[in-house]
Amino acid sequence: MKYLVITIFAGFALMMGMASAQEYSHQNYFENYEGTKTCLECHQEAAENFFHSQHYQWKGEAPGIVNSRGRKLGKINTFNDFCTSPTGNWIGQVKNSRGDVVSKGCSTCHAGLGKQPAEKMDREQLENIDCLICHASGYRRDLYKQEKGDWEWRPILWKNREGLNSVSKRISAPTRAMCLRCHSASGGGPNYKRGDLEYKLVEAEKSYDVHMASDGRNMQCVSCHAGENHRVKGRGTDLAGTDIPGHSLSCSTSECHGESPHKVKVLNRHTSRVNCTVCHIPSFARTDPTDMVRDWSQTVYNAETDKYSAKITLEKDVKPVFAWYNGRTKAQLPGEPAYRLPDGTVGIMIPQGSRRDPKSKLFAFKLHRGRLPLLTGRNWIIPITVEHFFSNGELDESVRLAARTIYGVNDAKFTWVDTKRYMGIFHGVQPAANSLRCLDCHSPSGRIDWKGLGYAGDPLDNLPGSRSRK
Amino acid sequence: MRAVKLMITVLVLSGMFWVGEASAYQKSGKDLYKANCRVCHGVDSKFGEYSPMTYIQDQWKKFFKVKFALTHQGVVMPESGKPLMETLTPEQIKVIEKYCIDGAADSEHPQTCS
Repeated sequence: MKYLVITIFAGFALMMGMASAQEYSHQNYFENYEGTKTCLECHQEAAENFFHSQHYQWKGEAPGIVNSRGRKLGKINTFNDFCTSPTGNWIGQVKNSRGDVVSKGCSTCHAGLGKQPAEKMDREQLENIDCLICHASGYRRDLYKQEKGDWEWRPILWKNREGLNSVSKRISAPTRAMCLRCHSASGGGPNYKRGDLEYKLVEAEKSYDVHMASDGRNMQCVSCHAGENHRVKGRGTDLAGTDIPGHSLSCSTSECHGESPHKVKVLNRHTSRVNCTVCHIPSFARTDPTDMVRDWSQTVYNAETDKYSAKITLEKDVKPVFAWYNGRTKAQLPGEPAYRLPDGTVGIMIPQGSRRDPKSKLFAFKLHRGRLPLLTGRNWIIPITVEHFFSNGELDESVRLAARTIYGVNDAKFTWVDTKRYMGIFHGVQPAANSLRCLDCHSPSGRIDWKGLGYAGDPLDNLPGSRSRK
Repeated sequence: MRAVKLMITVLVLSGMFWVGEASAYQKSGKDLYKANCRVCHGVDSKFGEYSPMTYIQDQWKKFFKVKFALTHQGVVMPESGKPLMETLTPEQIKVIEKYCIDGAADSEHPQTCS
């Protein structure tokens, strides 16, 4: 009897021990977390792979950009129509007149500890990788000044050894929360930039997103996007670089939906020219409004935060626009003449394709409009040194600072141009019952601008025996 | 019918009360922390700088269970001169505890209480 009790007690203790070990995957792998070098002891190769990835380099091969000319491109060496450019805005505390920190730089969302990514891999660069930002639940970091005066990202628990040791052992593949902390916060506010990446996806219901819903398939971002060697699948339609050249992410891969996913034949006929997103994401920004227009020529002061910003027009529950896309994009790159669209606006990221291009399909897009400075005489778009602008609202000086930093041009003269960027909408797939119906497109008041897409009119009108639907 | 109406009214009013109480609860956590904890544990304090994100959730739980009463027994509030343990009710201490745990370093939204 005594042995039985001891055995049961020992078994229970063992189970408790196992439960504790299971709770944190790296519970028994190291004692003290000493920064990235602790991770490198076992994961040197993974770190070397990650060093070359888009998430670290912020650039990559760009076969999807028609004017890349073989260059590696990404947010580090291009610009956008939101916060414009990380050059000159990388790291540091920007304080308002009250002394409150209003910005900490673009590296807030870089998977590094503060140093800019370098071309050459060395020990210092590998130790700059912040493994925990994507892999440790409960890990948070903040900006601190080193003794030498340089800024660095450091765990907020850096003074709490026990706490830091605990969170640094909670290692897993990236969860939705880990990815969305950066990807839904980009552009200056929740869901401002992408429109279809709301923080709500951390805990969403099926009616919001059938794939990621906690009560549905509960898929993580990495369920679709994880590639090998820390490379990520998919570049949307408006990212310049790609982690896996030659690989495009698609719903119709054999293990998912295939090319004929519908029970109804007429719907399957659509899939050769219509991407799934067109019908299955009827709207985006359903919870948090998204930035649809950012006019950098207008300065807006927020008295509550004591911070200056561009004039931003937010919209909620936005219907996507549709355009042809063949997998390639024309990008407005720094130091290249402004690429004018037929309506006179400058195309920042314009999907390529047409009705007559058999590789093209219709895709759903967020159409972001902007207004950016154009360098007189050169016809180049100038980004803005936003870290200067946020605190004092000196717009002209912020533009000139950027012209000097990026183009080496002093006392730049500039005008303002309207811009357009098409951003593929891929997340927030709703249940089939909510998808678009035939008449949402095939009716006089339908969503589709047939003429704009290269048709004489609704092609259904020309089918033999078709009846007027007016 | 009147009984149904009365029941609905009671349910609606109790719901309103519950919502009101919930928001007051959240608000008072920060207020209580600021008024009673931050006064001695602010930036560069000789008693140590603490905010909810100083600790992880497990550490806060352990702290309130094991250490808080022991270490704060003789603490006197600087302005009123009244003992801390007489200033705060057990319920208020619970509210502060919840605020610290909810805003801990490993919570979704770490709080500095600034």
